Amino acid sequence: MIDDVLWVDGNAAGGVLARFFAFDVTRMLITCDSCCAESALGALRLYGGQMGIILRCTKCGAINVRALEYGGALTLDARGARRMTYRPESSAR
Amino acid sequence: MPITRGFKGRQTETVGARDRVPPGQYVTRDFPVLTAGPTQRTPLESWSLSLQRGGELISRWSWIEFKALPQTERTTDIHCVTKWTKLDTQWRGVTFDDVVKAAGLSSAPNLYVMAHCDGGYTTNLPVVDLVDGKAMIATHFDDMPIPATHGGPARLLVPHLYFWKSAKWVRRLEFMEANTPGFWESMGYHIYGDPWREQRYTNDA
Amino acid sequence: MNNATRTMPDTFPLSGDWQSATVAAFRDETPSVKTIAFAVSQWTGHLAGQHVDIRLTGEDGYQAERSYSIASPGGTAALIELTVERISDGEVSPFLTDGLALGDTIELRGPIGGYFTWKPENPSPLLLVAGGSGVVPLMSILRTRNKCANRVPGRLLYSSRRFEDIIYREELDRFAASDNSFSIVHTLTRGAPTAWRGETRRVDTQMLAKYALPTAQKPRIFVCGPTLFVETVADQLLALGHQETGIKTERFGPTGEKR
Repeated sequence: MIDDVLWVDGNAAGGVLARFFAFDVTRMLITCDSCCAESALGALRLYGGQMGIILRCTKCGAINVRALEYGGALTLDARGARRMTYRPESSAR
Repeated sequence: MPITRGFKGRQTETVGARDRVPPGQYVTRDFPVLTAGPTQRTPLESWSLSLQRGGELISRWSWIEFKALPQTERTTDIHCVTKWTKLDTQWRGVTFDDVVKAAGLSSAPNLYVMAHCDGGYTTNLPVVDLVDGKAMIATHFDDMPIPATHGGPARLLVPHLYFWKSAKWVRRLEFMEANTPGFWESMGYHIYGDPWREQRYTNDA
Repeated sequence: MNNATRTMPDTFPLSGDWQSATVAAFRDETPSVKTIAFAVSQWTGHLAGQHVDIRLTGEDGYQAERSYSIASPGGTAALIELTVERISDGEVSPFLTDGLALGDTIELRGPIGGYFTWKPENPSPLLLVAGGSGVVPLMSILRTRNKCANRVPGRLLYSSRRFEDIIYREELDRFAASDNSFSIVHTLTRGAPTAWRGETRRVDTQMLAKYALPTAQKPRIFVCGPTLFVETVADQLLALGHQETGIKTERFGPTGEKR
């Protein structure tokens, strides 16, 4: 069953996270700690709505990254991401 | 912060209900769904509720056994930390007191509870905030079985605290010695969550 | 090493702070869709496909935030356009389409989302699949492609409810008429006018098999629209043999608004 309307693409979390990263975090490649699937952060499934940012692996559903912004600070929990890679050079592809 | 000329949000006027609306909240007639993950859809034949302490099972009920426990109805207001408040919501379920009694305990240990839910969500509460009719494991909303998107077949209902404490898809209540923070509490939401003192985040008084 | 001159920078500095945006112009697109042009105070520029977050504050301090795709082409112009569909029971969209006046200001943050972007130097054939107002970021891509005279094969498959709901219809027709490398396939899901020559049903596997660019061309694919639409189309494209790495998706939430 498609649990359709409760999540959007991780890309939508880009605005909140932009305040705290010097680079475009939606382009970061996330390796899921549960199943090792690799995906751009912008392609993960974003849950949480107004409560906070919950980014889940599209393959196995495990939480890769959690984030909450409050009082001008950002708390980030990336235990669910085995690895996070950012490549500053954008290729033509 | 700059005011946007002419913008009024969805909140309705709270005529005559001001004293029921905690600070910073707005009354809604909707019932918004907020979730940390996909909707859990546990079949009733697989469902059970457990009471646990120190890794040991105190008691467990199947769905049929749970439904045979004393039923209590309650109409109450609920307050979400994302600022919506819903007045006069009607619930039915089994009070925490009746769960404790059915487990054969003379009283609940004066400790803390971690609620564990299908899908992995957790929330922590002091036992003192669950007893004396303050909380129930609810199975019905508006006389209908709670839909899965709102936490059915059973969810915790602790309406005097922010609604993230009313954990959806509850399956296990674990007594613990320390007030270990649950899913949202460990990210920065307040460890207790009293809407009347506006305890939304960790450093709020 | 390829030293092709770039027509615009790789990325634009990402401002995570809210800035003020002033309403500069309106344009009706369809009975329920309006484009609003904003002059943004500290705008640095954007890439096609990016979006902004906007924030509205009521007199009592109540705040609502939403995300909207930028409709105007990629570039550094400090005037950007958002195209907003009025959702009848929406909290924000009716205010944007009916409550704003010229000179009003709102708060805005961006550009956001380097993940869902297209650059005109991209040599891959381009397949765009739009559901309703999901056409907005894809229109930014097409306007950028037109502005930069990119002529790799491009196709838009665009699903709308009725003929009068087709956003940017005339501009899209002009693109197709003046550019042999670009074609559009329209499909209407709730009835078509007489003499309609497009398709008349929801996008399905047969339609994608017929109109999607060949998998051998390894097209860059962008799919945007309501969540269920995007999910279905993406699954069908994968089933047809398109590579997952070549497909970028942007889902709108249940209200049609991104958050």
